[in-house]
Amino acid sequence: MKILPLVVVLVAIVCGCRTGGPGAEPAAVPATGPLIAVFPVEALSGKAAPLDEIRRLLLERLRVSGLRILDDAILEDAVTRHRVRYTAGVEREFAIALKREVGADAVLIPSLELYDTTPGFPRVALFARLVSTGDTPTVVWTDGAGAAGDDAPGILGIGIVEDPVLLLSRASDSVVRSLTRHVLDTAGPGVGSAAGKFRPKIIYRSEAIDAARTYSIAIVPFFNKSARPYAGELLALHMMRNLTRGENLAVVEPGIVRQELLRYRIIMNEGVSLADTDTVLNAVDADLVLNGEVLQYDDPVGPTGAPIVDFSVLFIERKTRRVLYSSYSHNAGDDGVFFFDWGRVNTAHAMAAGMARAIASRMLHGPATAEIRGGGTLK
Amino acid sequence: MVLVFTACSSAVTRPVYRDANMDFGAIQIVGVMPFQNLTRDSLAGDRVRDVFINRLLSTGAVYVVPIGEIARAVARTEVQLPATPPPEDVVKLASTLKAQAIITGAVQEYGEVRSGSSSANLISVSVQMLEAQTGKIIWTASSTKGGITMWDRLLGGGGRPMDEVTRAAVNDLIAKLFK
Repeated sequence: MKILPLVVVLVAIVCGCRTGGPGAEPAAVPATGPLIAVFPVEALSGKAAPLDEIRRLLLERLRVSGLRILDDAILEDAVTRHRVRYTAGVEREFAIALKREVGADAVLIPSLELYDTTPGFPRVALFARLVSTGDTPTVVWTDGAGAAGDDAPGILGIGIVEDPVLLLSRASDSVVRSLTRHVLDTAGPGVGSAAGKFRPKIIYRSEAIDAARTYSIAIVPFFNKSARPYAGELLALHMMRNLTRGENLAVVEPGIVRQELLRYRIIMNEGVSLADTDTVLNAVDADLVLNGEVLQYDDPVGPTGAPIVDFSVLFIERKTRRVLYSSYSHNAGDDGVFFFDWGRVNTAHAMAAGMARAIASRMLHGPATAEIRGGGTLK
Repeated sequence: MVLVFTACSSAVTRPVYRDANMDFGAIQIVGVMPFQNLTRDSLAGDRVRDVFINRLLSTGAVYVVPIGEIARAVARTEVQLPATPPPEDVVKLASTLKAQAIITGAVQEYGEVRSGSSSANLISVSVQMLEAQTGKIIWTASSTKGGITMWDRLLGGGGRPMDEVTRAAVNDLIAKLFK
């Protein structure tokens, strides 16, 4: 019995070394599956970041994983020929051109959420989405990974990572693994359930939602009232990531939605109106529009503090012009943490991911408000 | 002792006005206007309005028009003061929104208060419901939640998070509406 603590310490040290050291390079496998065009990395970090290097890292990992990647020269030629200036999404005409002219089956759009190189406390968060090409571009897969240097400090801090490049490498590996699993047709993770503390604080779910029905969803940009640049785009990506995992949900590529918003010159002053809903949903032939507003999306600065995320979402149906789901979510990274930082969340990315998962799960499978409250009217 | 505890109580509840002649059961759709923000926090009005709209919808008793539709109605009817519309504008807005009532609100306090070495979050918010046909007030209520409690004074601690205090105040208002 006396050697048990020693064994525990040794195991912890070994685990710490494993997580602290760079991962071994997987052996390259023959290229297979659909041909993927990899777009430039969308900068959503609000700070300077090595975007070209991140793209190179992703390309390298994708090739090693055995995915077929479109040659950069061919992609650049197509982008130049079609005068494409917006690469954070795919517009309809370019999606068709990619399919017909260069034979690309899908487009991978990476987005960098966070690249914080604060000495001793680096944080990195990365997203990527795969969009089908052809006549009806659809988001077929979205995933992301976020990591902080002190996510798993281990005993005596031996698991702390101080190199942002190592964190980035791990985040890229995680995203590429997920994409490879999807492309190789293995079962997806589904929406899943989030920790109880991430559930929305207030929920309205209409009884008109039919979980067995297939819905297509257009996500319009969230209103960003927070101090964090691009928080609206980030929350939209978090929602997209979880909605694409729903069995009966299809998400319209945001590049197409943006194209229609520009075409119809729709300017939303505060939120999406019913007239805007009709226009957008008719243009992209979708059933629901998802909109919301972000009030806070803060990552901690340095070693102290906790991330805070505060937002609301709204789903409006085209057919009935009614709100089908609405909720308000608020969480801090130290919610429910009482002893030794157990359960603490270190990045806004990880927290928003849990909150968005909880929303998607309740939107699809939660009980209707009328069932909970018993309906009724004002007295 | 009772007097001391009463004096240190953190939450203050103010009276509620309800129009005795109004048939509240006829109200199915309401529009919630932007809340007047009388605090130093520029987001206080938006935050409290957001929580209020979601909480009201979650009761399942009334349907709340999306805020984008409210913004569109304000633009179409050329209402100059959307947070404090005069009765004639209320009638116009309600007609455009096809709502039976319009709700306006004001956030008077939002944020941290200090007393000696103690501090805690405090919110004070008032709302009123205006009838669609005439624009007259049919219900008003206000709620103050949070503040420094006896516990905070004796044992320290920073009170409850702002988010919790906000939800408590909104729950209090909604409870008064459904009484």
